[in-house]
Amino acid sequence: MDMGGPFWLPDLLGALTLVIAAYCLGRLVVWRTRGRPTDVDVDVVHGAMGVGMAAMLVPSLSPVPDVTWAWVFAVAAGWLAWRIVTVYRQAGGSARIAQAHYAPHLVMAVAMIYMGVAASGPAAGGSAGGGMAMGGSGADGHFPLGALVLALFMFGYAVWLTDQLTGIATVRTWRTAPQLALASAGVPTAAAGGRPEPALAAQAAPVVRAAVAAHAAAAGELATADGGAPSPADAADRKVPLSPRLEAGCHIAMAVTMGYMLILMV
Amino acid sequence: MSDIATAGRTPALSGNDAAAAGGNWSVPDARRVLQLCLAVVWLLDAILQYQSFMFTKAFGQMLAATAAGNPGVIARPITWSAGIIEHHPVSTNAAFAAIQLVLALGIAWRPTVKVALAASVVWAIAVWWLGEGLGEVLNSAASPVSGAPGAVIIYALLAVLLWPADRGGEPAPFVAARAVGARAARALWVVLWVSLAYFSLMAANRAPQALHDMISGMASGEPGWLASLGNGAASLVAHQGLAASVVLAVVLAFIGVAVFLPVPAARAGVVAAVILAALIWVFGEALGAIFTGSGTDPNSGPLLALLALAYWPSRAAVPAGSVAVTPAQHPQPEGH
Repeated sequence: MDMGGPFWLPDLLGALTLVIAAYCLGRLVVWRTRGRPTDVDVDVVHGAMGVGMAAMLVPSLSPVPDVTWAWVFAVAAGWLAWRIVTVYRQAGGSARIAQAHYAPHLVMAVAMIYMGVAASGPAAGGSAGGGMAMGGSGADGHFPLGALVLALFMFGYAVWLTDQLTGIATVRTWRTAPQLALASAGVPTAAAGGRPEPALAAQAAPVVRAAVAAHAAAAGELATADGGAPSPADAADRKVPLSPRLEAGCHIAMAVTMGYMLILMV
Repeated sequence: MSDIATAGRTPALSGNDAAAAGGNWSVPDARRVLQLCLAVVWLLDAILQYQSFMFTKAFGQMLAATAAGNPGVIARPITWSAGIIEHHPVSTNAAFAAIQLVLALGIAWRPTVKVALAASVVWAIAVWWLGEGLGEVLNSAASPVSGAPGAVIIYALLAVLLWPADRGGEPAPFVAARAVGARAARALWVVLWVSLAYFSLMAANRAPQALHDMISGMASGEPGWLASLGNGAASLVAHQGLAASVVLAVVLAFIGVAVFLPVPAARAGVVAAVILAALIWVFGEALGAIFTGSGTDPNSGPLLALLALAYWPSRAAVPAGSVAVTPAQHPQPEGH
């Protein structure tokens, strides 16, 4: 891949995306083995994205041509689109939240498709090893305005998510004061008589409400798969989301890195 | 914790508990939304700084060229700093890009918004001088169409106007007035837009082919569709330099004084500013030359539009001195 600039930059970013991919896959392991709720769909997609981005940034790491990644993320985008449709069909106020939750990840998957296709085009200098040529004036066949629009989306998403970081309860709070954490997410609590507190519900960060909804869905799916009832201690642990702030931080890093890759393609 | 993030929480969520529970968050008001837009522009700026061109000696040479035409006291530091950058392009540019990345994320993260905005003012002024040669305002070559008075100084202006504090006294008629007061905000607006009107009437800009050459020159190296747009616009103003400059100056002057006019006219002025900023960005600045691989920032167009939005007259006046405004208290606090 012809990234230009210092050699360490793509290597560094490739290492970062691989670490994030490993972290996402680790979250899935903990979800499966310990029952801690997480966004399963998002973790799977981001795990694949981390590997795919590293392969595009450092082609020597890629076992497959770039166009293969485009196909992988076409499947991922289709899955996320299907999830949005299914959630939309469900009744209840969380439909729009979940829709908003999956939509950014769908756009990220589309960006991966774009990068895979553009990098594997004949004018992009794709190598036999799947090398990805970035940079250029846009006269080489791909659609630079699309890359710019996607990059701006990534920057907007990263900033939007960063703004909401202070609205995300820590794991410690989820363990020690789950009612407080739920209340901060605008979720109905016993303290409020089982009703959502309107002021809090309106003020809760969208990413928090979406995460709580997705976590609840994941916990329900796992309980269904496991069958028997967990012990009280396990049941309490299963209500504690997996590092929600760290998860958001990973998404911010992914969005910024993806924006960087897209800017190199405009 | 900044005041922007303290609205709308129950008394039960306060202090460290509230922070840990995610209690220090509220729906962004109009000013916070504009701050986030500013953070997005800073982030784009940072990532553009990571392009391969910026890690070459050519970047330092490009900066050195901004010294031309400036007084010695301004030009010498530019030449000195450009020399350092030219000799150490990788390390210096990596530092520049990292600084801008930190500024962007710092503005976006609520606990650091004040520190980041303050740092962005310092950084912007330094770059305006050492990287943009004060936007060519001292060498008679500045043109609003090509980015005068320098995009980066508008970052600093926005940081001041969007500072997360409220000035006591009379209600703020628009977002930009909340931190510095309506009088100071209007004065800054007038200085900016009337100076742009003045620049458009300078001899270099009212020459018959001046605007044509400026626009067509930006088309070079751009993708076909953008070059076609630029060349088409250039052909419209060919040999019409004086007339185009006068029309542009009149529009800029109207925008400049619009903040003193009644609300409908003030809104018309803001709308005109946004439209003009968009036209300048597309035709005069070729979207900041982002598609050439050598654009260091998106140029002044988006920032002028963002600035204009901060002057949109409020439907319901924001009480100056209030710590924060919740949607419940003011459903449309800034008319957005």
